[in-house]
Amino acid sequence: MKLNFKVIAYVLTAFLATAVCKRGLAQEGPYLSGSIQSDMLFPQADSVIGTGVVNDKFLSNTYLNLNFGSEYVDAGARLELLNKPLPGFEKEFAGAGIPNLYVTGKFKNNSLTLGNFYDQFGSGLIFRTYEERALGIDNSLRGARLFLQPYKGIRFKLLGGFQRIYFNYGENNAWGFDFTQGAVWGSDLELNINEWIKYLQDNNWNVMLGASFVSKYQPKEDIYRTLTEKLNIPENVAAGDLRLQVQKGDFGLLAEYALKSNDPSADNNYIYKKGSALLLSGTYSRKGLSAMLQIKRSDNMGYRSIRTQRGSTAFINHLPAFTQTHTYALAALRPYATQPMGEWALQGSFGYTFKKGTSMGGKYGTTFKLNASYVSGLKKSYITDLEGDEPLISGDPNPKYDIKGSDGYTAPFFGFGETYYTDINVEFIKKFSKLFSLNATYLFQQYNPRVIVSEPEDIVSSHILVLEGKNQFSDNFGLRYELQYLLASPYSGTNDPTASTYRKPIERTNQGDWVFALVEASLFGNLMVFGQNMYNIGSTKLNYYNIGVTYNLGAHRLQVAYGRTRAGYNCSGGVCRYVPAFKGIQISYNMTF
Amino acid sequence: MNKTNIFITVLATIILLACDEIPAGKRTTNTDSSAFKKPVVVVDFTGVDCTNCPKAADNIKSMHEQVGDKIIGVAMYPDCSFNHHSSFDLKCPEATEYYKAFGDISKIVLPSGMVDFANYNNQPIIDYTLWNSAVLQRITLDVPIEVSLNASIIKEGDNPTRKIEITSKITTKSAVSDNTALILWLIEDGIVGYQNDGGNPRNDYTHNHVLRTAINGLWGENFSVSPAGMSEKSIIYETKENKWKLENCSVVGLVINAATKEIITAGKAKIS
Repeated sequence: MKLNFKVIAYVLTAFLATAVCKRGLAQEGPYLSGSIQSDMLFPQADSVIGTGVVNDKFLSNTYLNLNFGSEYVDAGARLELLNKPLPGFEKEFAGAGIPNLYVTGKFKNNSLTLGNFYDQFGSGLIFRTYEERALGIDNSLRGARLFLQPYKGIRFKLLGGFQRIYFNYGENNAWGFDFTQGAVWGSDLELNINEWIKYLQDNNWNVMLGASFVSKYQPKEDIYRTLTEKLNIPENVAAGDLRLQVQKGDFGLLAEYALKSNDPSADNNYIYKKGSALLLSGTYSRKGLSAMLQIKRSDNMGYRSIRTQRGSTAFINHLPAFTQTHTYALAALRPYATQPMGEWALQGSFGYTFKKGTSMGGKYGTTFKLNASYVSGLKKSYITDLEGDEPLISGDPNPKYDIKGSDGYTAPFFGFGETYYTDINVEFIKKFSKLFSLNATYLFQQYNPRVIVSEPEDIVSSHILVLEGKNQFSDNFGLRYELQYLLASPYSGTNDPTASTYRKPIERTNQGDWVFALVEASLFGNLMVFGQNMYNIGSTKLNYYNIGVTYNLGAHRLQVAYGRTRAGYNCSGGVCRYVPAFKGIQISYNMTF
Repeated sequence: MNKTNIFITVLATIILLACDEIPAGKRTTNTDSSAFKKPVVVVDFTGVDCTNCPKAADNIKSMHEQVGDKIIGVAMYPDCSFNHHSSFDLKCPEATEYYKAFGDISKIVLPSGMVDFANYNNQPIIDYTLWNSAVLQRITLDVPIEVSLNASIIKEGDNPTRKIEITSKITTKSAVSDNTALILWLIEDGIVGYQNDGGNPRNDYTHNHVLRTAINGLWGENFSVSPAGMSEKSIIYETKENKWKLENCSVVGLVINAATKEIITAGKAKIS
């Protein structure tokens, strides 16, 4: 819905009144809940870190959620105020309105939703709609979703609608129903077989069989291979998914396979090759010990509701990342972004807690964690002939000829291409006394800039050491501190500024070694003060400092910080957004009720 | 037929209808090139540190190979992070101004471009994979105006100078109002230097049709022709930039709608 300032003021007033009055409602029966999230920046120019010219004095991303719940009906809406968004969001992201609106009718274990909804089939290989505000992702469908549990062990979903793409409200669609040009619909069925077979129940087996189907419709459009050859574009592109999940005691197993029909798009340079994904995962978990091993192969599985779209929007599916998301600053310096055009990914993890009283466990116990991830490309051979004849150029990741209209390439199933990413890390967590505990982490990472961020550099290898200490002196005073060091492989390019391939240090992916330090003090249970600095010892010799204070009071959280943020990638679940360098005062406010 | 069979039949039908499989051999249909009428200008906003920009340049080359001089490609290197390479610089101020005239340069995405400075699907600046479609919308237009150019280096004795004499001849089938302008661009081919080519740094890449300057100003000079007929004008342009190799340069003349900036027609002449 397109709004003017009067309407926004009314909605804000109603929201705040509801938030205040909500406490008066009984806990049983209908309830109201909601949240406010506002991230603000007062930017400053800083040519040293490359902020560029700063034209705006104030930037913010603000979200207001309001939800109503009861025994039979739920409803909700979200107001977004993104007129001047934070740095790093594309121009189409800006806007203001109510892009999320829904009402759900519930009866027993069944429900029908009209409006916006989020859902996922299996691991999300063919369908996942979700919201990730830090990345500016909201690919909800606006339509209808039916959920049925007609019999024990059976879960059935049928859904369809139009996908949200920014604030795409046109002149003739004040309610915002003209989302994408096309529609997405699908169905998912899960059968928990153990509910029907007594032997499985008696022996604690959980066995689930699942099947999903999704199709997207987008009208044909004029896309040409050459000026005299127009592509015959499929209007309907379908995908299917089969999965088997088994859980027995401490063991778990998941096998999932997805297939997508021909889907020529900007992502794959308009080839007609089918897409596929295979995922295998095994887990073991009991008190004090956990292990996991999983493998994924995906090929041409970018699946969007708009075939010409680029960037991180309009995806119907989500390929799970098989890499660990790090919170330590230097470990997260070069995060991996899942490659929708194809990759092999392997991940394994192991965790063990040495018991108290043992030589390794000490008085309080010691936790050990090991995680390893490896991602590579597929072994592709590109073809050019429209009938899919013999490949002319083998293994060239950047074919010069036009492969539009062909099957694109062949890739043997067990063929591994070049390394994209490696991450092996070991962590020890030990509490030495009531007052002091220590985390020690070592990481080895390999990062391929050419593939992940299209930068002309060879693979960057890093050894990273992290020490994190915590002191809890009393209930009102605690300290946390971190010291991190990153040792990088030598830069693959030239340091000769007169050479034609010379790149300025600040533009490089590999800027050499880094050191990071953080001190954080918790006071009186609800106040936290922190100061940190990340210094590049390598090629730039720049400091990225940050100081701030956080205050929590009940449902309210306020953080005020000032400092520099380095240009880089913000990633979550394998999806990344580039954030340019910025500096200034940052304020974050969150409230839930 | 029992209920289960009906359900399966309906389900199978829905699934079959929800998927369009296009077999090999039926993926393209030929279009008629005899309908191509007017020259079309493809403005390629590009960068030396833009990894996919060589693909966009190849796209222009491919179009030129198909229809010859009906495609006039111009590569513009605006002042942005893709063109801050320290030792190889193809930026020109006009490229930055042209981008700013149609898009937000703080959120520039490359490679991208424009066809005839006209909107395609309501977008002024479009992804390079859509250039073929945008060109086909424009190349079949019948316009009542043509421009032809002649450009030669002025010599003093036997020695070439840095001066170029440019003669532009505009022929109209009907009267043209003074809301029409002529822009003259100087472009250079064969510039060898750095380029991020698919993630590989190359210093032997050949940059072609690079915009060096707008000779008579960013939006040219207004003119009118009344009644239908022909007008001819000559100017002398002197360049102070010694690094531009005039023998590799051409002059592009654009007739634009001065209000919308849309290119009506264009012509190109190699400097002799």
